[in-house]
Amino acid sequence: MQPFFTPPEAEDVRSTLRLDRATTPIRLIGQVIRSRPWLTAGAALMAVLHQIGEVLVPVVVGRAIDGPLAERDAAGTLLAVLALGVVFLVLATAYRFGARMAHSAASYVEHELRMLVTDRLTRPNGLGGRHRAHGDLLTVASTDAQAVARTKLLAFFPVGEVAAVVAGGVVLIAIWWPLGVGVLCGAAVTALVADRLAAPLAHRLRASQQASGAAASVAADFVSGLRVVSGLGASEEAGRRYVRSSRTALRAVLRSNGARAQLGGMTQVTGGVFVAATAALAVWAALAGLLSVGELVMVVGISQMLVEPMSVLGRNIGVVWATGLASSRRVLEVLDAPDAVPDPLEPAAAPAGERLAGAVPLEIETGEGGLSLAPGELAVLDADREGSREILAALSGEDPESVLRLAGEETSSWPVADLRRHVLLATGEDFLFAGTVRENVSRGVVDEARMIGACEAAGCADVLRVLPGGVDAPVGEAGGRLSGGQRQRISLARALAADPAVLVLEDPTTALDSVTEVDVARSVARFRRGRTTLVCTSSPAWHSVADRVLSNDDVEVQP
Amino acid sequence: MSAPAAPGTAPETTLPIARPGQVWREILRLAAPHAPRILASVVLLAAAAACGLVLPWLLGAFVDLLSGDGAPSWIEGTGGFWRAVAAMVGALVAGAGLQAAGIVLSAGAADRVVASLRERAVGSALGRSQAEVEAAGTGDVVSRSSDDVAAVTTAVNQSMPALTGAGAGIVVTLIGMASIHWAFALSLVVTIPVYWFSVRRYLRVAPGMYHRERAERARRAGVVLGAARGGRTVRAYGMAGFLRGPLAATSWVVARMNVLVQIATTRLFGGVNLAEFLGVAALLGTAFLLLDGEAVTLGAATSAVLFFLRIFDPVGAVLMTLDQVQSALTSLSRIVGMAGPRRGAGDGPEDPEPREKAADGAIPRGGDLMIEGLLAGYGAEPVVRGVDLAVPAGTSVAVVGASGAGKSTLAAVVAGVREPQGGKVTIDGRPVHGIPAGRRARTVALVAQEGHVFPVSLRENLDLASPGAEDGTLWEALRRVGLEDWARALPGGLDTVLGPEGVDPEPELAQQLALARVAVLDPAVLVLDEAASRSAEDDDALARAAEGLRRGRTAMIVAHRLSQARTADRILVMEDGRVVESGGHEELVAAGGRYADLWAATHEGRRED
Repeated sequence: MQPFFTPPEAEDVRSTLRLDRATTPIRLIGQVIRSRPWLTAGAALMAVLHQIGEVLVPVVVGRAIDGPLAERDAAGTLLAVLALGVVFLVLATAYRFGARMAHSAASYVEHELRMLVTDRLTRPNGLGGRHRAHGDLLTVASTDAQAVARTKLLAFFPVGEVAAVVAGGVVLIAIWWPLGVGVLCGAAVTALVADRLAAPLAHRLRASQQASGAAASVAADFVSGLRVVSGLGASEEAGRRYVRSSRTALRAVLRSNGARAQLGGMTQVTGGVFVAATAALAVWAALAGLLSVGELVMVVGISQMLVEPMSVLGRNIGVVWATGLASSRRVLEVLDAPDAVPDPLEPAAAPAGERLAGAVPLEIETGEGGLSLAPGELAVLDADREGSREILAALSGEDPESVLRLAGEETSSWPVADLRRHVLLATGEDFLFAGTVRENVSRGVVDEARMIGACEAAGCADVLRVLPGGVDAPVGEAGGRLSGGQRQRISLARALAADPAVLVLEDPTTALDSVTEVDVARSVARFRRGRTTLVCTSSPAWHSVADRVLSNDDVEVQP
Repeated sequence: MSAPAAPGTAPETTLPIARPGQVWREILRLAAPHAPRILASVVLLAAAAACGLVLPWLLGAFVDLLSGDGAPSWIEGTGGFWRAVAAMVGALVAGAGLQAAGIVLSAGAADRVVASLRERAVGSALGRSQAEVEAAGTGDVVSRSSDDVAAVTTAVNQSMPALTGAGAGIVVTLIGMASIHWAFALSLVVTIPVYWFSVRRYLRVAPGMYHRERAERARRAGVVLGAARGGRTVRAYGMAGFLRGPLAATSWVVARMNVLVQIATTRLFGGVNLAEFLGVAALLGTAFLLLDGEAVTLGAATSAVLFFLRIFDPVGAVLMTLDQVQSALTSLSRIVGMAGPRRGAGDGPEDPEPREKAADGAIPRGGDLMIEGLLAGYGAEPVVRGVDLAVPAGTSVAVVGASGAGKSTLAAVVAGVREPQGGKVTIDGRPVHGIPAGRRARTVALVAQEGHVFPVSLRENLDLASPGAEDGTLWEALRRVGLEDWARALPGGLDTVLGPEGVDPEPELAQQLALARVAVLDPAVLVLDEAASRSAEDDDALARAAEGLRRGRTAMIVAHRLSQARTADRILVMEDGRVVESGGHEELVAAGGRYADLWAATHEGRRED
């Protein structure tokens, strides 16, 4: 049988977070803590039970010292031991299930947060705002998502710790009320002082997090630029530069260690003074005949037992909160990043399939000029960098000044996803994902026949012949197992397989040798016959298969 | 549990994972220089633990005083009461101070060890051949040098003080108990089998789980990194749905593993609670027997019980670190595994001579390139099958041929980045693969297909291969590749930060920068692999840059455009790993062979012709 609270093998897709633009970092943490309320409440309840059990241990021991032990009563001692067994059974069971509930709730919400971040990364509208290094995005999706999710544990541990203080206070009030009141006030003061001390720690902790994050992204960057580094024999120098940022990170960590230890020491002193004061008061009361020996043991046992929860109360809340808040800010910065290409304010879906199914005309008007393609035409745009950039910006919707008309419809009112579906911009530098050739070309949506047809048209036949496993050969990370020319042909096959109404190919065959290029250009022209296609290239191979070759003069307004 | 199907399926060749022995040796080696710091921290933490015993001991004394069993005389009366209070407070404050100092020392030592470990690890990752890193997956390498390093740092930060502090606490407390009566310490023997059993059960399952959790985390990193790097492609094709599968699968597996690890941990704590119960029960029983036999006073029995209640937390803390130590060891075995002995290209003896000396004179500036019987490839089937070639100093040779003919592999081997499977490459009679990696690039440098821009300053981008190069040299290099005007216009000149956070150059510019980097290095032999491939023949800036760099040195150009090849002194036509034709442009065109075919094919479509 599986242990209780074993997570299911299949992804739990429940969404518990409701984020919008008004979500602040603190509110995000609030939502994380409130998500999956039953599991969370269960965990909190178990934490309370566990801590009450912990408080009862010194109570039972005190009773035993006062009664059966002082009176040398064997049966009474045995009874006390049995009572202790029951208390331990309760506290152990409560911890076992409470911890499982808390950690599964935290893991589920962490997964959900991570998916929100990656969904944002893969949205067709793109990530606007400031540019981010890939390593940074990885940090947000892994480390930061985790730190935010860990705030969920604030519904577990601190709750139990507060319960311990309350339960301890109740027991102490029952023994001798001034002592109980004193302990509760002392607990509150200790928690407040600990909290006050956490603020500078939080600040230094943030700095050290940033520095070690920087060291991590330097590592990521040097490793991904390995081709350059090894070609130049610069791995030692790259290593030295990594060492430099690692030392910066180390200095920050050492500084935060100092802060952490200081905080630990201070909370220990406040807690210690609290225990000593309680003990002194109890001893004084016992000497005055107000407490029995067993009650003295109870009081001291309970206050000793309370020191740990109280001192970690501040630390738990302080550290988890500060780290979570910093990460929450970074997660939201990505989630709230503006779209690089925003959807129109009142989007209207692109017309249904049949209107864009066959040969469709395309018109582009840019500020400086434009071009139009006849239905089903294959045109080559051989313009300089400026000229083709204008046209490509218009086609991608990135240039709000330009107008794009597909089958007579202005695309500016379409959601970006629709525009991308019908006007595909593929470049010779597109990315191949780790996985097989089949997965990359079909993207899980294209049927077998079209996938194979597209591969053949893109000149992949001989690539597939040499790859072990053919279409099921893994391409490696970023297509790293293939040569530049192989990569380019497979990504061209992917573009052809997508079969958009308008296919725009930007420098699609730069890594191919001249002979292969001529063959590929011809077969692509055949494959796209009857579908509108624009190829931006200056390669002669494409010129020969084009219905029309456009130059700078054709896309610019003549002065 | 089945692994999710692909993108992001596990690579075939993974980086090694170090054995426990290797890990411990490495830790000891790295920790040795910090021994005084570690020793001092152990002493401080033991003293802190001893301070913690003062309070329960005094309480026992007061119990004796109350029950008239003969307490120490200095706590009697009002003065004695206040003396005792002062002792309690003093011990607590001293204990806190000692503990804090001990924590700073032990954490500082541990963090320094971790820092040197990660530096060594990343250094060796960078020293690995590109083929190795790509086979293992960049995600794995990155995750070992970031996630695993972070895991070790956290574990070490939290477990070092607990392990040393709590360890000292437990030992000191047991001594305290035995000093009251040996039977108290002895009665705790009943707890040992319970501790032993639950720890053993935990250690049987937990390490495997941690290994899996880390491996899954690395895979997740690879998939997420792919989604970030391929962002443009993902958006163009609306591949969000396609990538969501593997992203969700890897993320869920990690989430699931997290909980499974917690379940194992809660089982361990169940055992700990049982042991605690048995311990208290045994102490109560022992106390009853000793009291019944008048062997101890009630106060002494009270102290003993209070002592034991005190070590609940330290024992829990030690066992908690068991968990973290376990997890840290897993990460460590991955880090040490990566940092293990380097293999592959560029692995030479450490460069004993300083760079300057190597630059002037150690390597004579010639550049006679000789290739003899070269065999190279990735697996059993060589991709380059027997190439012989002599390129006299200062001349250039272009390699043309269809994709997959072996051109890029030939270039990588000639540049010393990849090891040959047979044959040899020499420059001025000196084998290329015998030159230490750090110095090799001054003899022969490879400009690869992609222009990678590092997110650091322009200066650091340029002097990567020649650290400390003078500004004059850098500007001269920029001028040679036609980037001088661009660089002059930058807001911070050479100190402008490039990349996503600063000035992000276009791909063409990035390639020109790559050429400038090589110009700074000024190698005798230059290998250009598809460097000018993105631009077509008329796209001149890059072609001119490459031409400027090539002038006056031996060059091997992997050409995709025949126009690039045309200007070379000699042209090789490769097919299926062999050279099938060789000669000057006119000569080959006149010969009417493979090259002449290629030439005709390229020109049949040209509008201008």
